[in-house]
Amino acid sequence: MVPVSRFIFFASKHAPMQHSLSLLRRFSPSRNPQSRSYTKSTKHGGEKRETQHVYTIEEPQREKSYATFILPAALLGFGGLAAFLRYNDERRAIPRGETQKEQFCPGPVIGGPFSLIDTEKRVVTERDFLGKWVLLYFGYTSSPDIGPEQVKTMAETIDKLESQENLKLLPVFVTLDPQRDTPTHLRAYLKEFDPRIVGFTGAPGAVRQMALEYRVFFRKIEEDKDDYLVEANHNFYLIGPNKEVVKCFGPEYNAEHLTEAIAKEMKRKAAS
Amino acid sequence: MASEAYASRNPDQVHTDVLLQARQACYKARDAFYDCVKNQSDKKPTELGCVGLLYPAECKKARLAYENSCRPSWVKHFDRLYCKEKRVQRLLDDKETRGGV
Repeated sequence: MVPVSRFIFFASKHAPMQHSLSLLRRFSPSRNPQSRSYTKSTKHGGEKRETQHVYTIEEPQREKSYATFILPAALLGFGGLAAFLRYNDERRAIPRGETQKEQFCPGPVIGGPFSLIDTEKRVVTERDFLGKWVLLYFGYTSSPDIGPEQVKTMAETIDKLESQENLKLLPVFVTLDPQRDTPTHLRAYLKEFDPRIVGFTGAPGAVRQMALEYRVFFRKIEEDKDDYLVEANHNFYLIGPNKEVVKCFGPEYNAEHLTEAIAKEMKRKAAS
Repeated sequence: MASEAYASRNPDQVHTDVLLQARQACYKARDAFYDCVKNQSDKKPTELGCVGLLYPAECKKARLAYENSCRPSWVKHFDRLYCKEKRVQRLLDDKETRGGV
């Protein structure tokens, strides 16, 4: 509408009146049905009136009609938006008092059945853990630095737990490298730290299965035939008497902190 | 699988090179070598170590002892650690010398 009326306005100023009028009569009603409806609605005498006239009168009126329309529409739109936001907030809000019920969610399942062999070549399964507190560690004997350190931490921890807190724990070392860590080798390796540490090894598939169940990440790196390292997360798992994983400790724990943390967990369990 | 055959091939072998004594010997040789590299840092590093590690020719003897008492994978691992540490140190030093820029 605006360009057309502007054209008319321009034409009426600069071109001969007659010419512009004839132009309007020819095009305006047919090309622009809206303009016709305006002329009708304004009731100024219909088509026979000078179109020029109609437009000049119509101009302020149309502005007014826009204004009267826009204001309620904006108000309505704003009101609708506010209502929608309010409704959406209400829908998403968690009512007070229901939080405890809603938040209950069993954590990831860690651990599971396994069947490996110990350093005396006896078959061991998860049933051997029943009724005991177990400190489980996944490692490998060919580790250059962190592996021996972790096993040392383990040996010191069980010593401290026994002497300071009078708590008994079964330390278990599961190898992630069963190809090289044979029962005999594992026994020789663990004996140097503490003969009480039990070593588990087995078929590579069985070890992999157990590592998967305990969510242990491991992979071979720096591989050169039979000489390789195993990258792993050197975590300890504290397992309760019902075979459940109570807590997991990373390599950042030293013997003192580990002893403290394990004693806390064991006492809490005994109290409850 | 070849690696599974490896275990069955040597069912009762004890790899003495990862046991306490050998481990300690390896650590000692390693520390001796890195001490040498540190002490000879004014010399031009010409010899190539494992993972881009360069060391002066004066430390060749220590390097040989180090490589003899540690597994190749361990040597690689320690060299990598050393380079990483040195890089971190260099970045820290760099920051200091630049001062208030």
